[in-house]
Amino acid sequence: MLLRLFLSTLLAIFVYPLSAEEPITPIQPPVSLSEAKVRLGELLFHDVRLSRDNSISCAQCHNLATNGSDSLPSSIGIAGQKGEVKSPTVYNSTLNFMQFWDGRARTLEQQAGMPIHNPIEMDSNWQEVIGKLNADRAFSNQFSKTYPDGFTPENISDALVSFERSLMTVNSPFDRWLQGDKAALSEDAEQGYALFKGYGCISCHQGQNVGGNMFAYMGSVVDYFGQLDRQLRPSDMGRFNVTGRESDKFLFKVPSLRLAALQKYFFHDASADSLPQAVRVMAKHQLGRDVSEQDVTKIVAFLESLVGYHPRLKAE
Amino acid sequence: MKHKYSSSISIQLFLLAVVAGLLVYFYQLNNLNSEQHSKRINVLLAAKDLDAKFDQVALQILTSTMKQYDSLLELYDRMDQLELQLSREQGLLHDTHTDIVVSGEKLSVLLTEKLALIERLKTQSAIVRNGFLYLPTLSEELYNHPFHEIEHPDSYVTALFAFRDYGSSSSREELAEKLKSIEHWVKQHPHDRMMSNFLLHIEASLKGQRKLYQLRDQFIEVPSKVTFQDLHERYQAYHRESVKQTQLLSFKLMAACLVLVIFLIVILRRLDKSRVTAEQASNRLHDAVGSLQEGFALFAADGSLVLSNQRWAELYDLSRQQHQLTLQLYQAEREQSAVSRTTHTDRDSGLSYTLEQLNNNRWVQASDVETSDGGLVCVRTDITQQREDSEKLRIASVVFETTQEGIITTDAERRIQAVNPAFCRISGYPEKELLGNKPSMLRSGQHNETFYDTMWGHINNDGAWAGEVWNRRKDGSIYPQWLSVNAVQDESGEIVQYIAVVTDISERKAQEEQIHFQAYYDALTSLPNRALLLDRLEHDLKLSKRNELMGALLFIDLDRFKRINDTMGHELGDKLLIQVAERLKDVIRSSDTIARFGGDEFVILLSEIQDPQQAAVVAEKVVSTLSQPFELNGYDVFTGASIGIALSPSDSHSAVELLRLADLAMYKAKEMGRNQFHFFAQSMQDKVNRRVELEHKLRSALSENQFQVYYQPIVNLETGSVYGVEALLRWFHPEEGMISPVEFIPVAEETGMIASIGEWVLEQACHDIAMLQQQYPQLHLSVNLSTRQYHLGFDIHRLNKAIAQTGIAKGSLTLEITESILLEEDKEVMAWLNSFKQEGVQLSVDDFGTGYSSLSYLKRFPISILKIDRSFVSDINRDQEAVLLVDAIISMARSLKMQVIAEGVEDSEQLQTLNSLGCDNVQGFHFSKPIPCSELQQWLQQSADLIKG
Repeated sequence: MLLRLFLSTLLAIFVYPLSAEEPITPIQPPVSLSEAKVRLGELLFHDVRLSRDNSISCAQCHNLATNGSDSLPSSIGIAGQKGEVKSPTVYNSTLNFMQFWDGRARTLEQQAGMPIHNPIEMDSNWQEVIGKLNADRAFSNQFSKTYPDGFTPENISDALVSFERSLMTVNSPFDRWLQGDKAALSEDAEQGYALFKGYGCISCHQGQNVGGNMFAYMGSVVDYFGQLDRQLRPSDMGRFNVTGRESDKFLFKVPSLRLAALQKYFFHDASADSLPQAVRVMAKHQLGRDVSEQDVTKIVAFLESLVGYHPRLKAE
Repeated sequence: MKHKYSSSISIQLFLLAVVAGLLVYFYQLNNLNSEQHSKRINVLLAAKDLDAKFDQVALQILTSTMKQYDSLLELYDRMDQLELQLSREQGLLHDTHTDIVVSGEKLSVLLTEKLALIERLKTQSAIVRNGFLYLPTLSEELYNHPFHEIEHPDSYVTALFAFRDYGSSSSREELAEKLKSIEHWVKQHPHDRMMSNFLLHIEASLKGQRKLYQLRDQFIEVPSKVTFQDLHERYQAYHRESVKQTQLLSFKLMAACLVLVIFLIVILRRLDKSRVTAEQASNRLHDAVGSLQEGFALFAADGSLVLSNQRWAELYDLSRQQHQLTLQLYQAEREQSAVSRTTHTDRDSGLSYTLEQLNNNRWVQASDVETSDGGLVCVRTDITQQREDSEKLRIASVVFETTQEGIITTDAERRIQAVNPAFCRISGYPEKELLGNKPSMLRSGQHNETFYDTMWGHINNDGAWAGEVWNRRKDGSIYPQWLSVNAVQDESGEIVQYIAVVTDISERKAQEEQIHFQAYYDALTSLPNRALLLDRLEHDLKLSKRNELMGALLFIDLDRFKRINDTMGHELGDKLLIQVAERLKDVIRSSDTIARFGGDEFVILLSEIQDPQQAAVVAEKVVSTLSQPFELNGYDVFTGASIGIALSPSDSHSAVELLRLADLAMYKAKEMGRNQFHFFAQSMQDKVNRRVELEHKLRSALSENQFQVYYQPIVNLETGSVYGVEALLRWFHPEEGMISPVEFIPVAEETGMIASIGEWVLEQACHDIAMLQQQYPQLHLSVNLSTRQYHLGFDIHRLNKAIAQTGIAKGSLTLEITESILLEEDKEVMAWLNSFKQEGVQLSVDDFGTGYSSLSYLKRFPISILKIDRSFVSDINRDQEAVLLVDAIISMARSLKMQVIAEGVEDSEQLQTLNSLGCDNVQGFHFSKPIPCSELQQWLQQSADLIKG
């Protein structure tokens, strides 16, 4: 066992440069995070006072134990309001180049306040939230130790983001494989990775987060929305909702596939409810291809190897 | 003052503005500093760099050499930052020119556009890449397709690659041409999924590539480079302009500095000048204030002391706290130091002032005036002197008006200026008639011109004259006045005024005469008294000196006047004196003076006599007339006169001395038996001198052991043996040798020294004899006792003390007293003598026979021994009377059981006679002269041997 660890370490050192050639890179554990800020962010993340009626917290839609998201087609805000899109995972969200499906927030700091103000989510505002938090003398004192100017939108966001930065799922089998632990992947998974690249999935799902760093049209080869038996919703416009540019219609942020294996629903509209189906939908509409079930299985095996570890994330 | 303030304020404001302006200049300069510039340049460089990075990334995407896009995250951060830095409001360029800001913003927009294009390139490139990835598979699937016969499927792929790689429109059209046949096939075979799928992908790839190229072209067309260039140039131009402006500003600044410096120099010079002026003014002010007679203080509005002088501090005794004096402190001090305070208003100026009496007894006129700036000017005039002067004037005026003395003042020409009521009263003239006239109108005609000339001469030369002047009243009567005139001179010594004070002395003159009489005449006899006598005597002496005339002074003392006065009463005594005076007046010439000198003493001054005999005649007359009986209250009273005469100038030139000499001579006359006169002789003076000399020497004799006790043996005639010795005092003066007791004993008695001398003799004699009594127990000792010793306190206690100290046998001691003591007939003296007798001491009477003692006298006294005077013994063999007298004495003594000692026995004849008369004891030179104790011892031995032998 020790020998193996030693060997893997050696391999990690010598093989890493090679693996750097791969379009997917291992998730790096977070560095230089303030423990106090993370702790405060965690408290805020689970604090229902961030919602108008103190009914929900961030964790409501971003269940850290399951997959950093909920297992619903669309999230439920205060007073049971339903959102239009499926909530993305909060894990590894720092690696995304923009936030939300349409990338309407550049950074997590910008993102943090948006659900609070969103009428169908928390339906509150900074003034209200800060008022409530200040009323909690103990929490206020604790918070002021780290943030001398107390609760401000910036400080609350910073704490939340600090916490979110800590939510990295590291040491996934695939990452270990990338770092030279060839035994970390099953044959299927390894073949699945080859297929992932060969089919061209990799064109969009690359980088540490296996996605999350570019936009792509939903149905870039074969029309997606046309074949749906439902009306188009505003959220289906994707990036267009942010830029207003005609060419940005149906353009969405490519989601991370890191925890895809833990998801129940897929795509912004949760139109797929299993990973193989999602793979097939992607192959059809993004690549214009049919994928054999055998390949789907292998790709799914690969995708499963992308799931890393985090103390809050319950291993299945 | 206010104007000056405002101008100074405006100068200050101007300077402030200049400084503020310079600061703004500096700020502007600072604004253009290199830091700002380099920041902007850095932003420009960052923009350029980001642009280049965008280009690089775009190229990598287009060439599919970028495997994953994580690295692009950083570009977003950079773009965010750049966008902020180039933003219109907060960017680094916002304070430059608008065109630069616009250009910068444009660049930012363009770069954002480029990033957006990169994003789209990513998306598009993925689509294209994936298309190409599928093409080989597609191509392979079509190998066995019937269409394969028309054209090999790879040719489409090849054409696609060609289009991808060269992107020329020809290759695209060629491919489009090729696709037409497929499209045609697909139309003809609608169910051929494979072929339609192939067409779909080829067309999609073509479309995708076209779109990609469009995007690429869009990207390339973004004029970021040009914009950057434009921005850069604009900024450079702006910077150059700024630098230029900076230089210009620097020049302006330098110029401003220069102006400011010059301005400051001018101001400094002005300040200096005004400071000097102010200092001079201040010094002048200080000097002026310091030299003020008045106390001066200036307080500022806040109560602080601005200026004050020494006088001020002295008035309020503030010197110790002057340096910190405030108005409040001063006012407190003022409250404390003021005894009284009254407010007045000046009649002329209408200003009010306060009169204060301070506790240091000074009067101060205080006037406080507020200054225009709220301060207080305090002026204190010390009017103590003025008050005193005015008070003096007031008093002088009252004195002038009310004094009993008449006062006239005249001007230098002696015209009357003022007279007081008293003068009007004295002179009888009303004031009106006197003013303007000369005092000469008052002349009485009693004095001649010379008198007045002398008077004015004194006044003008000495400044004053006083004397008696007779004036005439208005009613014509004349009166004596005491006139005192003073000349008043001005500073140059010129006489400007005369002041005369006039006292009517008519009454006083009368009084004076009365007083003069009282002073110079005896009230009882109306004769001149001692003072007038001396006056006249002095006067005569002066005259006699000049005229070489002789004068005589007769000093008359009434005999027995005291006795008459005591026995008949003072009233009678006074009558006697009056009668004596009357009789004396009859004796002398009118030119002579009789004076009552005091008590019963009269003095007659005979002026201008030619011969002393004349004095003797007068004296004879006086003695004669006064020896006649006086009739007083029906009695004939006899008195008499002893007269001493001194002559001038032969005896003395001095009045007092003459009187003394006459007195001395009078005593001589009295000594000689009264009722006679005696001229003064020099021997009298000598005797007096000798007496004084002796007294002087006597005072030191006892302490210097000049005395010795000698002893003369007394021999018993019956046994022939020694009865005893008489102690005799001997004085051996170191210069004079032995001085006789006859000479010094009276002096000792008069001066009282006899007390100590007598006691010394007693003690010494007792001591000596007590010693001898050890060998000769029967030896008696006689010691002389002076009557004066009784008065001087010698008593039995002293005697006992001497006896006790020496151990002499009481019974062997005899005290010798003189006959005179017995004559005093005094009970106390009797008691005194008895006290000795009672103690066992014997008493003997010395020199018996010379006095007046009678048998009856002796009987009364405790006498046990009589000593027969030597005068009888010396005559005993020549004078039968003496033998009878001695015989009588011895007989009398026997009858009184007294012993007899004969003194002065000098030869055996006398001894035999005495022996025959039955005398008990003898003493004298026949046996031994008085000898000292040591010789006495020898003598006693010899005589004892003689008897034995």
